[in-house]
Amino acid sequence: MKSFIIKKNMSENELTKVLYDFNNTKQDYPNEKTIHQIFEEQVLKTPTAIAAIFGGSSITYKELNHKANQIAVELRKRGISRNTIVGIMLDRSLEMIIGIYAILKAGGAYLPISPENPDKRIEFIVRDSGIDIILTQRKFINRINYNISIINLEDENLYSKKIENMVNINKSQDLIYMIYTSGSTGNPKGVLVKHKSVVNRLNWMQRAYPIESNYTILQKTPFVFDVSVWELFWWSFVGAKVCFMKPGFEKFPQAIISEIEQHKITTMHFVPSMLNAFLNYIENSPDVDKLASLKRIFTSGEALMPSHVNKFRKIVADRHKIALTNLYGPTEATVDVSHYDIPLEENCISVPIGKPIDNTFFYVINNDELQPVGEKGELYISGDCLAQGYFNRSDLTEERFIENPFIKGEKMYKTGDLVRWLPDGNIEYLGRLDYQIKIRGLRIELGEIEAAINNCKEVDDCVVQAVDLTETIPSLIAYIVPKSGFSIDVLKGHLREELPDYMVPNKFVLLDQMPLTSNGKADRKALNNL
Amino acid sequence: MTDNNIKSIVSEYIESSTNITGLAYDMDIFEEGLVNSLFAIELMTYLEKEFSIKITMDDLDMSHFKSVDSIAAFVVNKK
Repeated sequence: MKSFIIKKNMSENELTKVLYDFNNTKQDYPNEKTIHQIFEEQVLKTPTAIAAIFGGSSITYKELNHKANQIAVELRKRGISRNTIVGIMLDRSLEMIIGIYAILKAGGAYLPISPENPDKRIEFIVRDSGIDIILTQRKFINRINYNISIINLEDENLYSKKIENMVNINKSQDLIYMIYTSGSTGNPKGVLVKHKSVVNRLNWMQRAYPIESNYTILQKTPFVFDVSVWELFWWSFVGAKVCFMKPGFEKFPQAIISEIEQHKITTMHFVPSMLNAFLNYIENSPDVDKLASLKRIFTSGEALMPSHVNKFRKIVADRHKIALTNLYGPTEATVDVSHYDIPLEENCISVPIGKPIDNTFFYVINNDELQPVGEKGELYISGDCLAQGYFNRSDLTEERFIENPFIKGEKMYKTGDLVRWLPDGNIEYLGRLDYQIKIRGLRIELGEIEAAINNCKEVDDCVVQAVDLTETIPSLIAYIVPKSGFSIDVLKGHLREELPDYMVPNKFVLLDQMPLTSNGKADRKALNNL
Repeated sequence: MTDNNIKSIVSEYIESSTNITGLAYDMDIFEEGLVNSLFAIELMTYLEKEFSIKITMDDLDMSHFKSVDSIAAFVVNKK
């Protein structure tokens, strides 16, 4: 076990502050319950209330529960049990939520797969996860050419028998989902998350920002990113609704506005750069009055800038009372672990990532020393939010989830994020300590792109860099030392087959040789100056 | 405003937003990775303001916005 020491010149007072006062987050929550149990309890309370909306269709709590039961029976028949991972690949639709609850009710954990991914990446995820069953929609069936069973959630025959709730076989420590995130050594890695962590996360959200039965949450985040988790389940805690945005339309501000107006959306999420572009669209437009139903917007995924906040104040908050909350968290700590409510009465000059949520503890550590207020260090997270680890990657799990020296028997997750405590107990985000980057909130390991390029045999060496031009210009540059026979078009084709769109570099610079630092590593600074 | 006029205005806007020059009018800007999906929102904002048009729910089809040629045809049709 690695030993951490308290920074030598830290006083007893300072120590108490950063270890206990700022981490005073202990809170009771239904820690024995699973997410599907909470849904089933709500079904008994509000059976005829609308649970989910998609376009012109909707489904009540009772209907959704029944349909999920009908699929769950089929899954149990096919051997799905506690902690079995089941794939689900579809577009936003009512089938999405039916399928997810079916997997949970059967006892399994859902693995969301984006139909927008290239076939090779889908194949990697299917093989790596070892799933035997995938739930999907008719239009994607021919994309699945592996030896696994397929359940078409649009098949009417699946919904013919009357089925009661299944006997619950899960404990709250069981897995609820596995979400793949970019991996620095070449392939994405599956993060395993427990029911308990999601229950704690949503119970906190409901305590901090209570929604009521007449609220509607907009579901627009692709379900392969964990921001979607609160959109997918929070409503079920109180008898509220979720509204699934039509696939592809999240790109259009007119469609977002129309969805908000038509379905009286109260609660939604934006990645900060999307919020900024959306605000530019509605500025000086009467459309801003179509947002009147909104009560709170959450942002996360990348840094929310003071300029975004001030634009929001000027364009929206002056006319409508809409609150803005900034959230932060890695997938390994279940969606979000800190929150900061933006004061909208005054000019904004900085946006911290905020204070830890319920049952979550932060430590700022530099060179194995715990840091006092104001000193920079890496953020370590502990508490009920922690994922079980990475699927089949015990090496990486041990490296990132280490013993917590401050609470015996607990683990803490090493985030790679550079932060510091502010005097009021908020955390200020200062950047990354490695080569992980975010583009429009999407987490990307540059090493994964480099590995995909190096797989091309006409490439001798390569380094990928992210540059900040503007928010809308894609900014991944690949520096390549080619071998004979190299062609940029062939390489691009190869990358489009392996990587999601947002990970394919858009600029390729060919070099005779890679500039190196004195210790023989690629000189990233020199590359930036080319 | 002529069709060619619109094409050169739109092309100039896209070139300045993407930091490239010599954009072919028939090039699929999304497919080629010249812009990302966030650009769709900026493009909507620009087209509505520059050409004083209102893009409605019925117009929201990516095929209208994929190249300079298709954007110009769409604008002419809306005006």
